[in-house]
Amino acid sequence: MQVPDKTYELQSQLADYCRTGINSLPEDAVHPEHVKHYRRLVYNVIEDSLSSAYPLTRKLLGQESWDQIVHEFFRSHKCRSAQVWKMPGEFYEYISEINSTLKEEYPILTDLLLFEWMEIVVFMMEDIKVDYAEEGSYSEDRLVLNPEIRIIGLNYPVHLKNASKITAGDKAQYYVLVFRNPENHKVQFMNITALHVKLLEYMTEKPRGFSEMAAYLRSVLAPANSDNIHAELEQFIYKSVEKKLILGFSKI
Amino acid sequence: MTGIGFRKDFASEFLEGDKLKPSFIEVAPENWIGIGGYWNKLFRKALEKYPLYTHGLSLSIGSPDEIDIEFLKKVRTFLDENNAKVYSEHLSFSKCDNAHLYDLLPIPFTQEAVKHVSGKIKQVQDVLNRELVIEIVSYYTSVSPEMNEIDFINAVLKESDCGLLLDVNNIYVNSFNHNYDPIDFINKLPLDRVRYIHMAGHQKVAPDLIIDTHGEAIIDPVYELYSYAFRKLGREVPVLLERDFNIPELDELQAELSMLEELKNKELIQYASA
Ligand SMILES: [Fe+2]
Repeated sequence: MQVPDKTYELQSQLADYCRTGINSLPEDAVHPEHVKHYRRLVYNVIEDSLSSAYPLTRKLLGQESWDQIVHEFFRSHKCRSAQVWKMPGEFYEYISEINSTLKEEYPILTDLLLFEWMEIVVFMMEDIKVDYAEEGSYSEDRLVLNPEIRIIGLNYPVHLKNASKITAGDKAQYYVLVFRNPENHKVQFMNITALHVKLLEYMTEKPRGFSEMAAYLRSVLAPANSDNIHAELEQFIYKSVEKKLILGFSKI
Repeated sequence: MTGIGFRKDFASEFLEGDKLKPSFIEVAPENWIGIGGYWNKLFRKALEKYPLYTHGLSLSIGSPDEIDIEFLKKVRTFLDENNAKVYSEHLSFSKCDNAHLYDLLPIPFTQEAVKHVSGKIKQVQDVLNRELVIEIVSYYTSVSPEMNEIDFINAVLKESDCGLLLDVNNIYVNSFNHNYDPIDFINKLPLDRVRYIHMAGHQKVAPDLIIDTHGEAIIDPVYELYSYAFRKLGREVPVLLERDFNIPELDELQAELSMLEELKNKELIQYASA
């Protein structure tokens, strides 16, 4: 469909002003003094959505830096999602990709954003139906993993410590399991190891039995570390069942 | 039939109690497409009890950009799966140069825009295989108009052959902001196209400016205009109460719903007996 030039020009000018707040007002506004309300209303939607998605980040940065980065994001980034609740995910991507002094000042910034964003992603994600039996044998049957999960890798323990207390000395490789409880729909976080990540990926492929999992762990571990596999796996399964990370037993 | 905008702020209290008794609920598809977990559970519960009307936010029918067909197909699935009675959208734009703004900006009242917007409405109706019902939005300034608002709206309605959502509050707000007679405006609309009515509150932010906030109770002059609209319509049209911010106790919302029902019935009874 042909886009009409003059009308396009007028719309583009108004939209540009709403996004940046710095361009000159559209020349032909009948009430130029009212145009600023559009900028205010549009910006409020963006600021509100980001503030409620990232309360911890906002607190860490303080109001001034927060406003500055939000403004910069909205000015430079073209929001793609038709669903406003997904827009904060674009904010995380934007911050991850840019060079900013804010990232030097706050090395944990992208980790904190990812952590907060993943809570929303998992809370909102579509229901994934999975078949399982409530009764079964932990030693004989294959176990069904909760499919409503995400695993993220972090450089700073934003899931373990208050963001303002994290120092350079905390830098390491962390893994966090984010999952949704199928009964109360709440999102939970679990600090996990690289080995857990491998195990969870293995269990995500299809339901696995106890001896299968133990054999898999033995295959990925150095022999010296394989001694306590059975006890550790039992412990992991026990905890996972309790937290509804393992839902039940495979029927097939 | 009077319905309520189904908002997350009061969803749980509404579904668990019996203070608010609408005949239907309305949602923005954008807020519910592809969502699971807690909100999906509540939404499903609501759909067991109430028919669904929809009012989109991001289609940006007035945008210079092309229609986002991928998104529109998701909307179609959502409408079909949830048996939506009406799909309405705003006669405005919320996306430009491929950037969403998540708010409703005014389309310039130009001849070019009439053609462009009407073409897009037809395209949407084709993809959805249903009528699009467009809403006259509140606006705070027009930009380089070649014609009056009423002529623009009527030209779009005629050329695109779509339905009309009569937001009585918006007409009141616009008549105040742009200094015209709202009765005269309603008289000039093709009322046979009205499929749906919206009612809401607003906020006066300056002596010469009202912003359509959906954050206050409906005021008397808007009720009066509403009664006038039904006097002219002389038939049942589903009415929705929009309340997005500053949500009061649910019995206050119910009082507004009851008032809307009462005023409408009064007009329709008089119409029938005349
Ligand atoms: Fe409305």
